[in-house]
Amino acid sequence: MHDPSCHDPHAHLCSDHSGEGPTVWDLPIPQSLKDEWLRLETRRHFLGRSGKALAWAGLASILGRSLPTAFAGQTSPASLVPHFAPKAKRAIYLFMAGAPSQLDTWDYKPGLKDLFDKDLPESVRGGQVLTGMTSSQARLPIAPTPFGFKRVGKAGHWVSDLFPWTAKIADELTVIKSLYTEAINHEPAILQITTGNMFSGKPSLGSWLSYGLGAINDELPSFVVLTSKMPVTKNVQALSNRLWSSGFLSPEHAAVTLRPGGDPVLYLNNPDGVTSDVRRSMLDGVNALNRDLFERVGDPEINARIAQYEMAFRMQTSVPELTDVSKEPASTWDLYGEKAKERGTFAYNCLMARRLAERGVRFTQIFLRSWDTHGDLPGRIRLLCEDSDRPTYGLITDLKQRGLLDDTLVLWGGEFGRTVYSQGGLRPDNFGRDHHPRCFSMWMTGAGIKRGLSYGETDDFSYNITKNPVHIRDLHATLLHQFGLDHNRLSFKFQGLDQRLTGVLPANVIHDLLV
Amino acid sequence: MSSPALPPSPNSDEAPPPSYRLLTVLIWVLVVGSMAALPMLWPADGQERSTLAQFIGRFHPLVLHFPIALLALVPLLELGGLSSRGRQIRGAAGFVLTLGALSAVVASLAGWLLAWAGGYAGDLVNQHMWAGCTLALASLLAMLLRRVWISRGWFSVGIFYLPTLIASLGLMTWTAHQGGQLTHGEKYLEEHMPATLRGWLGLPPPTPKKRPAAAVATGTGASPAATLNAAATPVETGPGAGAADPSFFYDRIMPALDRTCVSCHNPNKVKGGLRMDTFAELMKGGDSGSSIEPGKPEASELYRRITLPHDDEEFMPSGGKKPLSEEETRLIERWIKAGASETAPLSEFGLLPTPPVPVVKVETQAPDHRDRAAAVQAWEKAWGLRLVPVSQLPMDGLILRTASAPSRCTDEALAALAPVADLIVDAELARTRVTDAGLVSLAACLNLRRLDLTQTAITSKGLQTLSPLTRLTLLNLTGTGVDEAGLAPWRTRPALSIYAAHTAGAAP
Repeated sequence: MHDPSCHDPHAHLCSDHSGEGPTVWDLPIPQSLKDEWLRLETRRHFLGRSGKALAWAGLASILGRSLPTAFAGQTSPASLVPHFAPKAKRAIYLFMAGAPSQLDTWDYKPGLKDLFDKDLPESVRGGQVLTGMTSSQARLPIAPTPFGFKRVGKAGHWVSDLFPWTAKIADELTVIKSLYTEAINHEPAILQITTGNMFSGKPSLGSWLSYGLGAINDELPSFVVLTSKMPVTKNVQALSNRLWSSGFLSPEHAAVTLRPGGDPVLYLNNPDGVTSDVRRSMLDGVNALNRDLFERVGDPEINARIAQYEMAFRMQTSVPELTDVSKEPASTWDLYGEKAKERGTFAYNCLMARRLAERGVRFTQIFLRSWDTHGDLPGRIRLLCEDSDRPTYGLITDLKQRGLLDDTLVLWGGEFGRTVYSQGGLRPDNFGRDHHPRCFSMWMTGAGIKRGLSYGETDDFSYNITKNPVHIRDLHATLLHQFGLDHNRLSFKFQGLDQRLTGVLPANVIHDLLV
Repeated sequence: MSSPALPPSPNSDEAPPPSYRLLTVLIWVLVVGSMAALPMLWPADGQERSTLAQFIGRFHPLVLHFPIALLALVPLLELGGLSSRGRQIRGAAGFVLTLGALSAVVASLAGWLLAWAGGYAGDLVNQHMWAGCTLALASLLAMLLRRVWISRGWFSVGIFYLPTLIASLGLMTWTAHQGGQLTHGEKYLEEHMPATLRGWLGLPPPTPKKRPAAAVATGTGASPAATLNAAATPVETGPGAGAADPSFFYDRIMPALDRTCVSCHNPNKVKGGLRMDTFAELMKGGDSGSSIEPGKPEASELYRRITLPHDDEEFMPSGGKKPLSEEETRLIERWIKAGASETAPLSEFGLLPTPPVPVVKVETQAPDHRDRAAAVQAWEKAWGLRLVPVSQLPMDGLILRTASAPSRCTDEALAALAPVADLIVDAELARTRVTDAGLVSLAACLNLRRLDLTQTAITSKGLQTLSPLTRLTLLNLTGTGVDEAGLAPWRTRPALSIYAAHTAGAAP
């Protein structure tokens, strides 16, 4: 790789020099400056090389000529130690993509029974903009829930008949009925709740945890996403890896997804005729090439790539062990149901979530889609709940009996709520509901969360919040708090800002939810 | 004009070389003599003198930086000159040394003027003055020795050059440190020194800043040794301090004076001949007579000075220091009006004692793990497992973390934990190879709060050995061989959560 032109002082400092001898990276300048430069540098590397040599010469003339190998990629904050003693070591987020209706699940409004097909009072809507899907409707007729509700347990939660299994563990749950968001459509809303921002490109919740706390188990990724087979496939919203990407954080903090069918992780098995030794020596060779490239370019993503290859190699052992459920006791299937034996079902994913939690994975997010019930709501929500109710009960019960619920946070919820009025035709047992960002419900339990609490209230139409509103930012701040992280201090410098999960608007930890 | 008996005048045409030599000798005698004589004949006695002398003296803080930088440069030039590439820079060493020595002389003279005319006194100032003059002389000597070395080589008197230079630098460090103490206070450098470094230097642990109400009464009211820096020194205590009804003077007046005035009016720096570090000295007054006229604030020099317009030449504190607050000024007025008593209690003024600074208690889970970082790292390295801090608070303890490689965690690994056993508050031992034998070592982890033994080979027998772990709040025995009999003694602990699913002891 020796290049005679490197004797020329300017050529010597070009970023593509062979890596021998001193480079600007060895100058005693602050790391933050170097990081900033690297970001500019890697962007430039992507866009093309024009002008780069000039820029380097410019930097070199300012800094003088000097020193060698590139800096170690800043993948995590200086310390991976929580700011204060945490309650949670890990979290499992049961994400109901498409937005389940709060009116039919957790926000019981008995008074609506008598208002069937009456118009939603204008004063309640308060000029709220409608989506394009209902704005052309002549009327906004109230659609009471067709499902019964029962008051259960010591805590006295009102639980929908859709959740016969979850009703058994209702005393474990803290139900928040006053969440709200600004986004009225799926993509921005789902991005906001998974990454804290309506625009894509920000790190997701699990990535922030991985970045801030590091791994418990180095053999598995810190952040795992499981997508589930759907019991119904209507109005299915697309999922994409923007929802679990690491954004501007190092790519190694992005989630690894376990696929619902085929190999859990693609290309993890060695092809026929390739032994583990061959795979190892291939990886060593690739890593050497990557390290060489890193020394020349300094792009931290190359280090992340090396780390990912190594993680994949370790996962060749750890993932088969993870997904081998043959040693599960018979009681497991009693809890999660027989469906848990079928790869990729929500039930199977719940079992995986427990196994991941046992093995120390920080953040597991299970996605169950098709809750976007614009039409035929009663029929579809019934199928979805039949699919997910028992495994949810199984997961909570299993975590609890194994002592894991004590330091595992569990969340259930979607990205926004649904309207009290019907979209399209209204019959007592068939109607649809449109998007509703002003209030929605979710529940949480586990690590340091109060049990059996009902928090926040909405008006008689579940349209506006009347007590204790909780923004998604507050939810995020509270989650980080349970992990011992101060959301104001967990930051990453990018584009001139100390970027945070909770952004720049005020966010509050909801201490009322905490033990 | 010249006679044979006298040395030739500098104007003599016949013999210019001897005349220059004489002049040089005269200058040397003058310089060396003044270095020794001035501080001895006219020491710093706390009196303020002529304005011109003070004006020149105040250039001391400016000039002193020249010898520091220049003298420190000399060994670098000498060392740099050792390599073949840097030979030419060595030539500069002599020049820089000469400049350094001369600037040291100038700095010493200016420093002496400042000390003599600026109202300074005390051991620290005198020591600093002598050290400075000695430094000037030592660097002059080094300069001469270097010339000898250059002209006659190593094996002459020149061989003493190096020791002299090193001694000068050592002296310079000490002198500079003293100067820093004079300017910023004696504890300036120590105040935020890390505990480890403090230990190496044999310094006592830092004294916490005290408020008078929390200080111990000396009973005499006499100052033990007030120092320059009010902020870093425990506030002067007097009769009644710490009592239910302490004296008004010591509770309210002294702390204000201490913060605002004492840095210039103390045994080491007696500006205007006035000391304000004790009640007696304050009442004695200074060059302008008494400072306090009991009962008559308007006739008291102190009160007059602190109530002048801030831009008045005589306003105190001078030099842009933070003035007394309006409230403090009113308190001083009340105190003088009431007779300027040392002992009159607060209750006479209808006031309550200043409450002591509240002490925030942090619950500690374990001893500070930073003190045993080496032992922690050694164990991690030996067993390929981790001991991670619970949080950034070092007293929150460590987590014994095995998830990456549970099979490496054996009974031997636990036995080796002995030196750090009390630091561990959370032991994640699920699926490890720990057996009953290993639990014996675990029983030494007395600060253990959480213990996870999920799917290990332990039995009820081993569990008994853990009975010393009284602080446990969580005991996870999922999938182990324990039975209900073994669990029974643990069930009586009210603060303990026990998980024993999939065991013989599991509730049906």
